[in-house]
Amino acid sequence: MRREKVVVLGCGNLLAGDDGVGIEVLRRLEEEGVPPGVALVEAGAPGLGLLDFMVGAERVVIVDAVAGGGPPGEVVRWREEEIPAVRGRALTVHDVGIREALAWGRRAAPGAMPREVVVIGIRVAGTEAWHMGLSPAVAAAVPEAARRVRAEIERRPGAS
Amino acid sequence: MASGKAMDAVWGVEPTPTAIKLRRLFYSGAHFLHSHIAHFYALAAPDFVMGPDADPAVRNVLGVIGKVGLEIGGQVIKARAYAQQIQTMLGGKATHPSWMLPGGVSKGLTEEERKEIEEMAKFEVEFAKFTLKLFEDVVLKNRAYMDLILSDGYRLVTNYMGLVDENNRVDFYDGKVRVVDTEGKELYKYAPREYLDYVAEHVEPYSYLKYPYLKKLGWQGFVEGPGTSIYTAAPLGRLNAADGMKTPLAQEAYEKFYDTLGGKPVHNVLAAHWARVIELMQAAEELYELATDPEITSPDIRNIPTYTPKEGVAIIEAPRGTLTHHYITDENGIVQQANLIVGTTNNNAPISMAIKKAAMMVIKPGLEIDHGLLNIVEMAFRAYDPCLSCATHAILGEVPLTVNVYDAEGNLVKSLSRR
Repeated sequence: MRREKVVVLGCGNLLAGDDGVGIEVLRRLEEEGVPPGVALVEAGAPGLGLLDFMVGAERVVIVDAVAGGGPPGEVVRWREEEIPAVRGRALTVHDVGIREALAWGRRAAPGAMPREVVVIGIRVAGTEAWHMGLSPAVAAAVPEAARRVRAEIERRPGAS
Repeated sequence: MASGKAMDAVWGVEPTPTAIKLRRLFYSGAHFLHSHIAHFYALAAPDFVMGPDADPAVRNVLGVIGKVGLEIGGQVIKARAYAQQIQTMLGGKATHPSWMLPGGVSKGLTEEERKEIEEMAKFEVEFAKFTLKLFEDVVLKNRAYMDLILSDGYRLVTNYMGLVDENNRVDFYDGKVRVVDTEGKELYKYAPREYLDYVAEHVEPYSYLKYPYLKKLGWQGFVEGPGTSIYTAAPLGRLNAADGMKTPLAQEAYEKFYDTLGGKPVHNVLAAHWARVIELMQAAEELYELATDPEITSPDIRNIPTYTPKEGVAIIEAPRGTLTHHYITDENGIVQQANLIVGTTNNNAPISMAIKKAAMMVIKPGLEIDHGLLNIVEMAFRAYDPCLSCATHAILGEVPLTVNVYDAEGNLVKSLSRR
């Protein structure tokens, strides 16, 4: 039923410091405007519910905070097969990682899942509960992350 | 939705009939579907489809889909996605929508959107029928599961609470709060603004989650049976507190529920899963009814408030129980004082008592304590679909549940934890 071909999902929690960077990038894109046929969706921390936002879309760009692995503020791009798995045992459906959720969606409902999923990740210093606002390095990365998302929106499907 | 309705009360304004229908479409239809589908398929079904003592590695939603069929997984995803899309279409975003205004809503529905929702609602009705049938096939036709549901260890005799319409039928969005006693007889029926006359909250030093009870009966401790002041909310509470459901197929299922389980009220904790699926049916039917209502696309979506804001109370049914929001504001409508009784909070005492009973049922002298046993205890907890982060305002991101086993002298024998 979804009319938009491209869905951009901003993930994270604005009340947990740098974890909200995905939402901040989405809001920047909202302010700047996006072409018709693109949906900007604040997805929160949906776990398995991530699939709810993808049904019917052709392409999905997920914008999310990435813990560790590089300097805070670094922007990374992962194709679906490059998304890291969640380590450890998930306790709830909210703990399911992007990779696991997608794997299940592709098995359970291949026709309803997007052809392509890309993650634009912003490395963060750490997340802190009950704290609003991004750390300086992560806040400085928002324009670059928005630019990378826009490049994904405009990219020809299938080209990497 | 509760805060939006409380703001209607604060500003002394009634929403237009179309605004009420749109809110119901969003909430009583789409939101309840989205929440109840997740609980049933991701949290309840693994215990029954895979078995209570199955390996946790497979006792999850992926295991369920693997067993009942991948095509069912696709239907679950689609049903959740449609409910989410309807909420986004109306509220701008599905979670924390910025759509409710005192006296109405900020955006109406176009005919094109209505047609889309009608199609999605048809699917949801069929999906709810399928889910009821699945519950019947997997649980009701399984003697061992029925024995478990009907066992004393999963039975807790309390009063029950739920919001009802003018005909005492289950209503998720509006109405009066009805409370019935342990025999199913009406104790109270009150308007939201009167809630402080009927509900009070007990505090225990070991928890920062309060224990609501029926104020007129006084706090009597964690006791069940006739005369207790403990009440249960959420699906089982709602069905027991009402005289029926609002929609035909849900009503049919409601009658079967009580015929099968021996009449009203039902005190079997695990029966909450069946009650939840019956509510899923009502949500789907209500979604379809509203999507085909000629008034739903009217542009008359807001009454502008003229009253100076002061104080207001609203009560709705959250999927996890009766939800109360009470605000006192300044003359600009800025909240100065707030009191919330969150859905799960109502069930704090019943949850504690149900866990204790389940533990007493399965922990026996000389019996090895394992994960299967822990899960049987957890099943009592899970039946309430609790949201402890809502109820306690905690975001720990973990389930700090520990089972301590003591011997007759009070010495700790074993401790089993999920941490």
